[in-house]
Amino acid sequence: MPSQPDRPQIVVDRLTKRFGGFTAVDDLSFTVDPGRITGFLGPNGAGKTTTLRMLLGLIRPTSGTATIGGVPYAAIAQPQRVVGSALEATGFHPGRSGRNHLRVLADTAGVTSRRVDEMLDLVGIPAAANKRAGGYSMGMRQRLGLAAAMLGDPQVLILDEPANGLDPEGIRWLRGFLRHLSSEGRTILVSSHMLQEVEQTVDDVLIIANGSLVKQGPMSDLHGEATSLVRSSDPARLAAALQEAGVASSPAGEDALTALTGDLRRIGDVALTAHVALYELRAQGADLEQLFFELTESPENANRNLGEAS
Amino acid sequence: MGGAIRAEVRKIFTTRLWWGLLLGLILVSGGVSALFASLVGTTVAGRNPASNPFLIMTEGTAQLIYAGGFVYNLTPLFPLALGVILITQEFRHQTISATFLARPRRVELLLAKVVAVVIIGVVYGIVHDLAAGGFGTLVLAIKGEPTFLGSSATWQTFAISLLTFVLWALLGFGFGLLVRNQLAAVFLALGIAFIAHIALSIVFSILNWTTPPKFLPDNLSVGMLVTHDPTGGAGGASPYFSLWVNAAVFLGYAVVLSGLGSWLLSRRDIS
Ligand SMILES: Nc1ncnc2c1ncn2[C@@H]1O[C@H](COP(=O)(O)OP(=O)(O)O)[C@@H](O)[C@H]1O
Ligand SMILES: [Mg+2]
Repeated sequence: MPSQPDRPQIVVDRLTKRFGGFTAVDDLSFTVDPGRITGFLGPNGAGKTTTLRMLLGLIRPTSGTATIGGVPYAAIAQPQRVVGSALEATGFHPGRSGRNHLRVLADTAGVTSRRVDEMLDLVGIPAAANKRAGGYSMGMRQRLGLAAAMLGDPQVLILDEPANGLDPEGIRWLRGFLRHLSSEGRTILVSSHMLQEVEQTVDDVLIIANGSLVKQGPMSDLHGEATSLVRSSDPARLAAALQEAGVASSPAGEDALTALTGDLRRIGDVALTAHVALYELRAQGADLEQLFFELTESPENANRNLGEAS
Repeated sequence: MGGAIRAEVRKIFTTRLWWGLLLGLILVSGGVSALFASLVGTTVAGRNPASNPFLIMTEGTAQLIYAGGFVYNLTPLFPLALGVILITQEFRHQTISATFLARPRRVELLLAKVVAVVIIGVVYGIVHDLAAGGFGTLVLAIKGEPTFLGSSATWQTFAISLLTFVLWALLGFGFGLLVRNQLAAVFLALGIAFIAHIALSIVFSILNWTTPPKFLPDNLSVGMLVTHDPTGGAGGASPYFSLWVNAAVFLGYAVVLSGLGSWLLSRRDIS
């Protein structure tokens, strides 16, 4: 069933791309729901860019299909007004100003020069707009790319590694920017090879390794159960007391435990009753980085690009 | 389609390439015209009326002067280089992805580019006419020679020059589309148009072949511009095809290269 045209769904169905004998994307299927921010994650070389380029009609799939709102990208009459995209390895002519770069795209999108200036303001580079793009920093190039993606006021945004080359300030800005766009009801698919870059931003995740899907679901699933770190005068006695109170724990170094609960108050109470002094007590989320690593680097998913020389 | 054409035209006029090349064109076209005009009525190019086109000012001599650097294979290098660079810069600076994202129906996009190349070709042709006409008539007037500005042959050359520029730019565009690597395409195109032309001309004349040289692009374009015998009939048979045969053959080259290049690019992965 084709999705509503004003809330287009992205559907990737059994998508495969082989470059010669090398399978970059391997029978990949997923959907991206409208109105949410979906993180498209995987280590370098996993096949993210290739997938996004197939979705946008730049790379011809070996087999399978990818559609946006039920149709292939190339079949959308005014694509810039439906889907905005910023891809890795897309450049700017170094001798053309940022504003003129956008004006060229505005001509095909059928939007005014005023919209161009509004987008330059939106991404925060109005001062550099008349300078030649050859002198732009990586962060300014990323912002110009986002401005280009937003020109046609699209409902769907496809962003390939938009955080690459941004400093921490820039990453914070990007986070707010994406949140703002999402609050307007837009569908955002954003790729990254670093989970931390997007973990605070995305609603859903889509993790691939070696061209295949390894996990899809809401970000909250990934966080898993909360745990707490407890440092105390007598970890063994505390562990036993916690056990009695129905809280499992495991040793975490010299004088600390990891308790399988996020309820700090309860741990404090148990420690008091057991006469154990607490030196440190804090909640910790699931170790996402570790989880990401396990998902993408487990033996069956070990990065093919880093394989030992044979 | 209108938006895509506007975008492609804007691309041309928003970098320094077009006027940088245009400055070179003005110097070359104006310079060669002035040089030719200064030879009129002199024996610098020989005393033989059959081989010195400047001995007596004729309609053909005027066409030769106003064709400017075409006769030396220099002027066409500018629209040729322009055509090559306009397409290869999309690959060099990786802007081709954004271009296709904005206009995913690739053949349509390439047609819009062709229209833009035609437009800039006409602009170059007009500027060439102004430079060659301006410097040529200036020198002729100083020397007191007739300028032939009232002759229809002269105005035919001015008009056909626009077509000639368009064809050379399209030839470059098609060539660039096939080669894609900018540096390689520019050097190959200029090398073929300039050096290979001279080498082949020498080979053909040694072999005494008279028809094959007529197919060389430079001769096709000179044959379009200089339709009257500058020696006023003393020079014997024309070394060129007729005007429209020249144009048709040249257009054939441009269409084959651009068509093949477009077809290949419409199937390529852009990664
Ligand atoms: N045009 C191509 N030809 C050959 N191999 C390619 C091509 N494009 C990508 N690859 C390979 O496909 C794999 C996936 O690449 P890519 O999609 O860029 O991954 P990611 O974006 O996740 O880092 C990599 O191993 C890469 O080397
Ligand atoms: Mg990538």
